[in-house]
Amino acid sequence: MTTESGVIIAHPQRSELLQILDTNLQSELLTHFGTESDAQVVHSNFSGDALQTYQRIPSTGWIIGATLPLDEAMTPIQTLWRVQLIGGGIFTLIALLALIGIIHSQLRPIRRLQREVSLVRQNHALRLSEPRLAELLQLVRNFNQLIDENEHQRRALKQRQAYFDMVLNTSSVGHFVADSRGFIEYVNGALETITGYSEEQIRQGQLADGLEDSTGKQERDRWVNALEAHQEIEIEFKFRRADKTLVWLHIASKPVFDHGLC
Amino acid sequence: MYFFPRRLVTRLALSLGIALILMLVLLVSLSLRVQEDSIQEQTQTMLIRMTESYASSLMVMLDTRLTAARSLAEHYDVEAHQPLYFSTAQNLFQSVWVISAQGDLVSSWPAEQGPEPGTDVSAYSFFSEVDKSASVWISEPHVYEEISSEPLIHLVASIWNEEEFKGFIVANLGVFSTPLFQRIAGVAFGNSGYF
Repeated sequence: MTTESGVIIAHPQRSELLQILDTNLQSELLTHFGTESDAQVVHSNFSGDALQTYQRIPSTGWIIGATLPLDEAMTPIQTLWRVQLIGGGIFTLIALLALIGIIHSQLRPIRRLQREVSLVRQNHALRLSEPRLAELLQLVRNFNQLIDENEHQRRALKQRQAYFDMVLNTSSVGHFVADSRGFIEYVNGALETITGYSEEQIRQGQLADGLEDSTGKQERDRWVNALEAHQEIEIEFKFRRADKTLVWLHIASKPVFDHGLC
Repeated sequence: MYFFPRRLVTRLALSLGIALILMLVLLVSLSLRVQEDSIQEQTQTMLIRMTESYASSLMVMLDTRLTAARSLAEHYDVEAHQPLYFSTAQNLFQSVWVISAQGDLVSSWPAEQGPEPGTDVSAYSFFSEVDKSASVWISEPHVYEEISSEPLIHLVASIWNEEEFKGFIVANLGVFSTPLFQRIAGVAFGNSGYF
């Protein structure tokens, strides 16, 4: 507490008694108090490190001031810091664990889908089971539809192959299918009968052993050239069958194109 | 090098975890800032209320003393050289002096303290400073080594008789020993808050 002129008359430290209040603070206080003799202006936080309030006592002009260090005033916030730090840490840990659990659980259909796709690829399963997730359901249905169409095409192809085999096997004419390089991939039974060689032997190229003379070899070269040029050709040559008997063979070769490829 | 896990579970856990932590840090910071402001405001309000409360109490106590000094001045007859006896009003002060218009001490209480009656105190600093027209004039603290080492604050009330100035009632408050000041100096709030 100070007198009107700023002399300290009450203070916890006796050494401060009768000292003069800091002139800057005095002028600041006078500015805040104004000219009214009975002003009861209260102001706070004049200095940065403490909360301070001052009030003038009207009848005497004396000023009473209270001060509280900011550190002490902010003690509750430090406690709050600690509590929130610990609480926040625990909450974050629990939330993270819950989050991982939820993600793990929610992504179970995708993991199951991954396993089932793998089984389908290994031919250990025929179809994917339908999940409850709408997004995956559409995907799985499309995938299953593709599998069904693929299976349908495979069966149709197999049927056509069986029909083709039946037609070719009942034919009295020898038939073979070769790739564009001339390697034989398919022969029918009639060709085996005509040449006396088995299908396996024919595939291994043993027909070349039966070409009787240079004319036969020339005809074979013509056929190979026609293959390379993707052209039709008919050739005739003498051929020695597997049982060494001699026969004339007439071969008509025609290239087959699929989407422009031979 | 940029690295991000290929597993969806790990990606989601990492992304959401980081987002969660960032959000929490942001929330906690914001909350603490608001709470910090709130606590500072509350403490300031508490401090203001406390100061107002003590100022009001002090005002009442000082007004009582001013009224007592004025009352003494109104009822004291300087020429009669009345002695000052213990009274409730006198108990409010450390000592009370009656001084004539010429500056002689007429009477004092307690009798064993202060200048002897008849002592010329016109040389005392307050004598030249006092405002006779004021109801009660309050001095700055003065030290009179011949009387006491304790600084005294004088509450001075002029004595008038039919518009003739007769002298002063000087009621003294010792800066070190007056309970009023000691009580204020002894107030503590928190660990290190004080008046």
